[in-house]
Amino acid sequence: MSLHTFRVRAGRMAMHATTGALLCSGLACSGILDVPNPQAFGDDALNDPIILKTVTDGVEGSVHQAYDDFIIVAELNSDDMESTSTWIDWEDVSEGRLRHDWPTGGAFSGPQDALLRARFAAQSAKARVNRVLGAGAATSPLLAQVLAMDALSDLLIGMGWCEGPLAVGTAREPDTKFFTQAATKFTTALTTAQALTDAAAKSKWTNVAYAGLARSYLLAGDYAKARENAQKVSAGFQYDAIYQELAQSTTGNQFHQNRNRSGGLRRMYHSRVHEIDPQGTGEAYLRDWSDPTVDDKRMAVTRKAGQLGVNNRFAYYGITKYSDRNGPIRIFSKVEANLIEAEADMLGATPNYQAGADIINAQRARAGVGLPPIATPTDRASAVTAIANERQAELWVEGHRQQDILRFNLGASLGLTGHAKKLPLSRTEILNNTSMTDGGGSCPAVY
Amino acid sequence: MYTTRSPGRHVRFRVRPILASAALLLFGATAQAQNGVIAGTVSDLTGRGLSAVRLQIVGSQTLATGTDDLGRYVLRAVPAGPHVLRATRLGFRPETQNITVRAGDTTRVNITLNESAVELSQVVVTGTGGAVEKRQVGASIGQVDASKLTEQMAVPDVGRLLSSKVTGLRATTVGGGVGTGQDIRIRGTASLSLSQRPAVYVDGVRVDSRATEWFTSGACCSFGGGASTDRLGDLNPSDIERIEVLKGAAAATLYGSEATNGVIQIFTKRGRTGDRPTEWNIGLGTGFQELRHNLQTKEFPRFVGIPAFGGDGTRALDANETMIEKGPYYGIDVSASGGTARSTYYTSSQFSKDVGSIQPNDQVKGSLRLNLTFAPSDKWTIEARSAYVRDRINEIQAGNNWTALLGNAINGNPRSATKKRPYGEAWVPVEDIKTMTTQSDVDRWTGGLTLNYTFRPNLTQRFTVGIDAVNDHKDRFFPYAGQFGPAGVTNGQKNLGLRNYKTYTIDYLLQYNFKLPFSIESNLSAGGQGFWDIESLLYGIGNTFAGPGVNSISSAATTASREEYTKTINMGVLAQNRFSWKDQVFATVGLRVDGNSAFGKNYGYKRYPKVDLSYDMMKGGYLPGFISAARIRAAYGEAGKMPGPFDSFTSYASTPVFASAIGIVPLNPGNADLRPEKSVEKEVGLELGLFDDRLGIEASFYNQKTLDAIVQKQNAPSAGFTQAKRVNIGEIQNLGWEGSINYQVYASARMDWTSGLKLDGNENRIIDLGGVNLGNNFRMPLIRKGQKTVYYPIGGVWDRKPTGFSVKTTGSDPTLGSCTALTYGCPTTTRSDTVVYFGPGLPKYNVSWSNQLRYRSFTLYGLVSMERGAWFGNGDRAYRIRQGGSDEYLSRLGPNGERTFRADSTAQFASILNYIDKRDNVRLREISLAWQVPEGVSNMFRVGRSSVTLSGQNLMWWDDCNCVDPNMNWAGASSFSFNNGFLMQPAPRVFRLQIRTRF
Repeated sequence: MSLHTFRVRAGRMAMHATTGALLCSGLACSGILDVPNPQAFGDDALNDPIILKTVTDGVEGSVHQAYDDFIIVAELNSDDMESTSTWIDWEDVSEGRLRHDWPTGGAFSGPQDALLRARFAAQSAKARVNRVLGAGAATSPLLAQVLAMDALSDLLIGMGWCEGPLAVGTAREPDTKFFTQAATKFTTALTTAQALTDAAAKSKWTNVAYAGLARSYLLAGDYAKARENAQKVSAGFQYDAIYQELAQSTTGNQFHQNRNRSGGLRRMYHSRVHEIDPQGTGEAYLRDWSDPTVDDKRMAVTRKAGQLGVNNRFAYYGITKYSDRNGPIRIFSKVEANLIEAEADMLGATPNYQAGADIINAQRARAGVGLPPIATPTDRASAVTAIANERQAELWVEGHRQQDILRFNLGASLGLTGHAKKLPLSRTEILNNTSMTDGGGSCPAVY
Repeated sequence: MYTTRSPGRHVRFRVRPILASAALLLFGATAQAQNGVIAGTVSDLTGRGLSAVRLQIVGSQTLATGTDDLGRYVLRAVPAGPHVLRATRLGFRPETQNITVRAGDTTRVNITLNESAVELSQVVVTGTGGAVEKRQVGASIGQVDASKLTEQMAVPDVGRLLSSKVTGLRATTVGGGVGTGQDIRIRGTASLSLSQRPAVYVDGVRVDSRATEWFTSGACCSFGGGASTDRLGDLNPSDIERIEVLKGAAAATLYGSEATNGVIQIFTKRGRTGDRPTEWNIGLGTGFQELRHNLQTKEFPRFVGIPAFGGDGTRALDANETMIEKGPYYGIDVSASGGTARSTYYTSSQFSKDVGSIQPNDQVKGSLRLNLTFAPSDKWTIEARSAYVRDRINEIQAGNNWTALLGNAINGNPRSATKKRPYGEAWVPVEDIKTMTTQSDVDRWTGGLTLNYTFRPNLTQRFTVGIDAVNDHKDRFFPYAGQFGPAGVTNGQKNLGLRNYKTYTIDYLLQYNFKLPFSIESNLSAGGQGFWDIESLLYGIGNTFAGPGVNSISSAATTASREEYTKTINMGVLAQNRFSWKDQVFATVGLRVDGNSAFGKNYGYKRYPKVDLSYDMMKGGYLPGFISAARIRAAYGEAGKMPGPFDSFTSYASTPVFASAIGIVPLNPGNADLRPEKSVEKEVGLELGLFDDRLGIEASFYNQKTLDAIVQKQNAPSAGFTQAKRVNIGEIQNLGWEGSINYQVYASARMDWTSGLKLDGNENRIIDLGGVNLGNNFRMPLIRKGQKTVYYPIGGVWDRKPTGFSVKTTGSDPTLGSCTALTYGCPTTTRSDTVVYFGPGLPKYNVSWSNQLRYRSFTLYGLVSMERGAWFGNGDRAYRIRQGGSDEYLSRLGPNGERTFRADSTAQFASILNYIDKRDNVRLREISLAWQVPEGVSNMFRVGRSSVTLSGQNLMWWDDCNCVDPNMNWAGASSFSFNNGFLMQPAPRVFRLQIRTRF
């Protein structure tokens, strides 16, 4: 074949190939590479009034989802709960070894990550509700819902961790600023809730906002505003994180069975346990802090003779409260509001020990608790003892104790010398937030 | 080489199966008067017939055939006149013979092939670009003679067929039990996030090769822990003729956006036109497998359960004595092949049952295959292939799993032993786990149709379509009565899963050979290739039964279901031209252009160019006489790796919230600019044949870089979105070398001895993470934020290390209690504040040494492998000690179990540190003794060539890791989670007896 013939043939072939390719790409194959994802929504698809409630429920559900894990790590770093696992992460938290900018993710990072993401989801949903509903957003329960969750996320972050970012991608700030920011956000949520026309939603979100404000001001040290808002929480009010077992998804309460005997009652309290039936049901209670002759039914544990923790090192006392994988966990309640009011009475600017003790005793006498009254404190020290012990019992494994030990400076008396006061900032946030530098932390401090 | 014209062998009896008759009726045999027939036998030096030899009339695409199991062949419809007949087979030096065919006559040509340590003249398929001699290709291509290996020893699956056979290819059992996954990867790890399994094609059809768990829903862990099933295990090794491995981007460029990790091409057997219509081949196998008795529970029987640890006086059991069993194996495979001048068939069926050493765990597999070839005219050849397999695996509960069977038995505390928990099981009693059902049941059909059309001898086209359809039905059942609390199961649970996977392949190739000026020959290939990949996953869960006696989801108190779906479409066009100058210098240039549904919507098409060069130094005539073959080569090529199907989409996901509501949460920030990862590979190599090809040396050096590596750039949690954004900002490098030496130490009709040494090394490192810190995902928390240059390997092992030791005499220790109360104080190891780097998670060096010694009719074969340089988190070791078990800890207790300084020192160490150990090991991987039954004996039983093979695999290994098996991974065949051996059971020793006969 001559070079000329080859060129002619090669040219024809190239022409045919090119024509075929163009036909294919321009006509027959057009759009062939478009594949939809049938199991997720795009951003635009959510700008639809029909779907909006699902978006805001997703926000609230995310906070609930994070709440049980928050409780685990916050309680492990307190005197309530102790690691009985073989996980080094849990043991590090339980032993209070944590220091600032902890070199591994640790068990404590995930819950803070989840709360930060829930906060983002709340803010994103707030913008979407305003965008989709326009002027109608102001009276929509959906807006009140996401505003409350935005505030609650900040409150829980402040309760658990010594620092964090106050907004998307901002620098680290101390926990105290989270309490004031939470108060501001709850105030906004309250305004929106009060404007609602739906009575049930109005009641729910108004109470959540008051309870949130009461706790935020309490932790920020403003007893007057804490008492003022606590008193406005309706009698019998309770707001829970709700879990479900469906699909064995991660929505199940992770505190259940204290994560398979990986965490249990701290050893310092084992001697306070009264085993009702050591060889049988395992039913047991801690003795009342005030009157050791009676059991405090609020502090139920499960003790089976001879049972060890997963670590096989020491006796295991499971915490019965919230041991049901499907069971809700209390976030806010009138009971807590009452304790806030009692604390404000006893430790506020003008102490009224009797008023505080009366509130506490009323709670102890209520059905299902039935404990004898405490002695009325006579000074600030005994008032602190009373309120701290009562809060420990009433709000047991609800994530308060770590902050209370810090607030009431109980570390030394509880033998927590050298123990981290709070959880350090999530490593995921440090590494991926451009406003933060690795190694730039200064907390948590230790007792 | 010699050629004889001898009378054909006398056929003692014939079997005419219905299938053969049908084929004959259907296709007919239309000998034409102007044509003739070539027939004969191809044998080795001993006179033994060689199967799978390809015989081809040089210059013709269609005038080709292969030998049957006895080495016989018939080539019909050969035009009368002079021809050159060429015979090639893997492992043998090709031979050509000038012959003259007379019209209407049969020309007998018997050929003897000499074994060769050099494989330069073998024909390889080189991806979608068409077949070519290996010496003409500049990139490295590995070949495995599967038909020979399956003859040599009973091979359970494809993974073990590849293990230690190809340099640069790692095929390692990582999951222990029967039917579990194998880690298969080529030339290191080339991605930070995408699967590292090579693409697998069977006869040109893309097939499912998943080896990671897909069933992720359920109360506990994944379906069978980390011991997921491996779809490559569905293939019947006896059906495979050969395997070609395109090792990297330079070799696999024409496979486009899925070729970064190389491509494994499997070629199944075809029908042969021997001198009898049907050739039967029957294999019978039996044997067993058994774990080594090296579990860390030998001290257990010293102890009885004591109340302080929850025990009830029961003496603890040693898992070595009570858990390990001999798992039996039975198997039979039957194949038949034959044909006429214009049609051939190969059909096979296989059935086997393989029981694991830790039970319940077994695999029952049956398969059927039919490969047909039909040439309706001299221009057309039609190939149709159909394979069906049913693969039912009772999966082992292993891996990072509360219900790990062996994990519970060897990680307990013997002092906690009770009648119910005789191993002191910390989580779930072994006797309860044994009541669980964990089953994977697969129906799979793989079919393909290839049309070849020869316009002219130098202009051909090939069109292939195919489908691989897999239905995997998974079924896990926790009975009502078991103590499955730690697994989150109370009063029973049922899980059902259905995976429906289909991949469709379409492939077109036009080949045109022509001559250019200056003695240049050109071979142009152009075409297109595409695939559709569709996976649908369904899950059903029923939790909590009312009582024993029911086991369906609908009988549970709460039920739920879930569905997942992915689809990927890839379309590519390709063109390649091979230039040959004086049959001495070969150059190839090629280009593939891909579009893919997974690319971001702002991204267009991806181009992958390639070029390679090969120089056959023997043609120059200037090399000394002892060099019988020599060539040098170089190659450059690019290939890609497509992102996950929906990685580029911004998406929000539904999630259950509250008691019975649905919520939507931010999931994936998406990336509209997402593009495939691009691997750029440069490779140089040489092959030498010395002393008449008795000594073969091969060496390759490669530098592969993955550019645009997809990094999962985690959002700061404060910025929302659970999933990380995928961005093309990474860069990875794999530097490596591969070498092999094959030596025919001695060869004669009475005895021969061949020895082969394969070595490879790989240095994997991350060059750039684009300022992203992968943190704990890659166990590299030490990397400082914003650090651009990384230079640590993917999956490297990082952890805290011990920094000192002291004895505390005051205070207390969380593990040991009061130090004052201990007469010897508290032995206290301290640890580093930060994690440090120990080493890579995969071996840096691999060596395998094989020997085959034949004396008369006996052949002894053995293969030893060695791995060096890898580290892993020896999770079990620390875990056992923390729980108060392990021989390591128990042996340091006093005679009556009392605490000692050494025991406390071990306990305290394990309470704050993980054990990081080396994976280095030497393994007796394969050994076999085969006896070729003398012809006289075979004739007595009226059968043809027969053999009896006794083989063993994984019989022994030597390590220094204080672990049950240094190759185990807690996550099975995961591409990246390979640096921890937690709770996985070791690979068993496998013993097999195989009898194979033909008639």
